[in-house]
Amino acid sequence: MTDLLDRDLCPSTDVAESPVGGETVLLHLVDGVYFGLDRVGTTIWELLKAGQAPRPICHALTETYAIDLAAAEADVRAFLAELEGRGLVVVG
Amino acid sequence: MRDGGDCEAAEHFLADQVMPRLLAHIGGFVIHAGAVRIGDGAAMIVGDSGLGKSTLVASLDRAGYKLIGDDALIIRPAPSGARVASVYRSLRLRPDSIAALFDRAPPSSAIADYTTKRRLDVDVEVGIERADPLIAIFFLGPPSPAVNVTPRAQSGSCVGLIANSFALDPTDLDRARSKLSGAAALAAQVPAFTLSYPRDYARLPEVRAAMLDTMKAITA
Repeated sequence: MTDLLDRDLCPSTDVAESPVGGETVLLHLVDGVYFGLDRVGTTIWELLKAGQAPRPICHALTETYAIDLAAAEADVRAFLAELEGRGLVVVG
Repeated sequence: MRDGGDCEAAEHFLADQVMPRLLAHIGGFVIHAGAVRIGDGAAMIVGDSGLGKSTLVASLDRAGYKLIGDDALIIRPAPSGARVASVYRSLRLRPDSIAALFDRAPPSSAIADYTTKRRLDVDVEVGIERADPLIAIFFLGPPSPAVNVTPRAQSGSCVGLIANSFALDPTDLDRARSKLSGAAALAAQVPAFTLSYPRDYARLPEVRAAMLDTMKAITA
């Protein structure tokens, strides 16, 4: 199975969002599920919206949050798996 | 209606289920929560059914902090700050909570056949024109050995507010979007906390003190 970091993921068009004090809350418009993103999640979400692929996002996080690449990849992989499981990101 | 029990159940259904949803449908942000007045503002207590909202607001009311409501509240946003009021007169407690909180049980009535809770005859000011400034939101956590008040992230507050809000038609996407932006604004405006404590009547003074300290820190 292809690593999530190597897939072309983008925000679903069925998602509405609202900024909340530097964080973000997502609403899946089809199933009505709400999902809160913390600051790191919001950074990843913004980069996804800007068309960034997962691996460049990992590199961006190492610079923004001063974490090593392995930690960034693990965090992004887990985050994307949760978003994909909720239908909030889809293969572009 | 066959008898008094049916009438009570119907009244309970209309007040608890229908009216909050109708108010939400016409644009109000209506939430399943309790609230009391502390100083010049209100503390709102949010939590799933059975977590102890009514017992805690009743405890605060007994300690001198005026009950605003224990079940359905309507929140009015304003540039100067959100305000909160009760949708209807309500304080409903289980018999064990009544016995623990009152030296002499106040007048009360049955709610419905399916619950042991009783509606107490209490003085509650109802109506948005009587709304109090909302100073803090406390989300009830599961029982814990100690009393803890921890700040809650704004996104978590926003999701918690939505999860506990009323909607007549949850599939109405325009209203869902509107609710999202309303809850986000509220979460950004009002500090929120997770309140965890042991469900032990003897520890309620400690819980009240923790809430009061938090409110004082906000308004200082």
